[in-house]
Amino acid sequence: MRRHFSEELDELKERVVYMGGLVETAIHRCMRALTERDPSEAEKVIQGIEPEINALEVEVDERALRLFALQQPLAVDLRFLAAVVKINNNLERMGDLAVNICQAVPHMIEQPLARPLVDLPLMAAKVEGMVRQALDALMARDVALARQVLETDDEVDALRDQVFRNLLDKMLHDPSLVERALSLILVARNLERIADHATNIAEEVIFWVEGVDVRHHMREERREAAPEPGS
Amino acid sequence: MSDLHPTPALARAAAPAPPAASANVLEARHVNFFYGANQVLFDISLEIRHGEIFALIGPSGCGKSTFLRTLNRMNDTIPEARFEGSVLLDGEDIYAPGADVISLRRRVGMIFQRSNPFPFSVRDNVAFGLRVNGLARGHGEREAVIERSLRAAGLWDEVRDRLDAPALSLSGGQQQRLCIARALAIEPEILLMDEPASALDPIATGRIEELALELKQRYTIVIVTHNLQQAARISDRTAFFLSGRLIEVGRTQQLFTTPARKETEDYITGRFG
Repeated sequence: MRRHFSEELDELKERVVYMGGLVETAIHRCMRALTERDPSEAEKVIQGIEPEINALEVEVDERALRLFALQQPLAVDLRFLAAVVKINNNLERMGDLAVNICQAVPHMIEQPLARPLVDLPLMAAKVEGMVRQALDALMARDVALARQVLETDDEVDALRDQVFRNLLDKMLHDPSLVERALSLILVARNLERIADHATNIAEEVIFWVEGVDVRHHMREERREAAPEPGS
Repeated sequence: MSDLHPTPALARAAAPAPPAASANVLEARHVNFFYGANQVLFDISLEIRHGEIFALIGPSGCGKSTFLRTLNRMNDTIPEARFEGSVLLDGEDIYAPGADVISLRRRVGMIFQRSNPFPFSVRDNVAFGLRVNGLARGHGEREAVIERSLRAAGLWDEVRDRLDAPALSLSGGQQQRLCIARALAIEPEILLMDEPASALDPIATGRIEELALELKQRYTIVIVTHNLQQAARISDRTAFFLSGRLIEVGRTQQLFTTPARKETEDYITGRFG
């Protein structure tokens, strides 16, 4: 029994989940900065949270690489470490996307918004929920929960389309709103990208637990026969 | 992280799909093996395909070496040992009454854990099997076979100038490759390797592994190894044995990334016991 190795894997998972918690906070704050017109919230993400996410990305990669080299993991451990490296990369990108929104906030709140914030907070709540579920699925090896994340992604895409349509309509009717409408479209675009990364994380959880690659609808079984013992 | 249970998806993956029969060079059918009253193999059935490297893994005492030795009847001489079942070599049962064991061993060569060169010269070690089997009788022909075998074993460049030196003066890795050359000289179809690199350093081990990969162009190789990374590096398919039973057999890449059975998962991740 490789207890020490097992403990190191648990520790690594905790670090990744902690990093995910920071990403959740970053998303929450960037939306609060926008809805409450409070640039200090955006500043907290840019100055405090995102640099910590970046430092964690490096730490998680180093830990994973060390375990690959020293423990030569196989089977479920190999799948876990491969998944962690990818989840790590996804989380870091999610932090960057939250920062994109934060950086736009000061300019956006200088004037009235092109449209009242209705769909965007709804979309942000769904995205935050996806991130939380993906991380809970990782923590609890919960494949059913991970699959829920994949389904919610379609809802987020539908909301993004709705936001795009509404704002396009605004721009066509009043060209003076183009710049402000585009800012909102970019917020929707960044949220939708964050949801895609949450989906990637959920897919990695499924791969880790079940050994099945569900990316890009790759569901075919690439397996060979293993006879029943003694058959 | 240790609460590993095979999921439904993994359990489904264990469903058998019969391989193409014509590709099988060796086929064990319902093999049982006993040392006296002690049964050490239980109803093993598996096929080894032409031109593949097939690895047998499992903890000490799981029966993998005993199984390997049933494939060329190396267990025949063990007192009180008893074999049940059949092993087909190109469709013929090697345990059929009247089967020619000498011819079997020519077709199915064996490399052991400890290199075991004879206390002769390098040349005479390779020529030994030729003499015993009455092959390559002419001097020129014999020399040609010796060179070809040493080249195939990746040893020629290191020993070409000292063919008359004692084999025991070679390094451990060279001695093991000499034993491989000796086995190749009589042109077997299949090579059985019982932990061929377990006594070698990483460089000599790497050479044996490279050699196995080159040899599989012409030979079918069955290898027993305790080194999981070695099985992962060189074999096409792997079988996992536990307590005398075959637990799982499959493509090596699959077995080491997504094994179908919990016992396999526990063994290869070191969570055994």
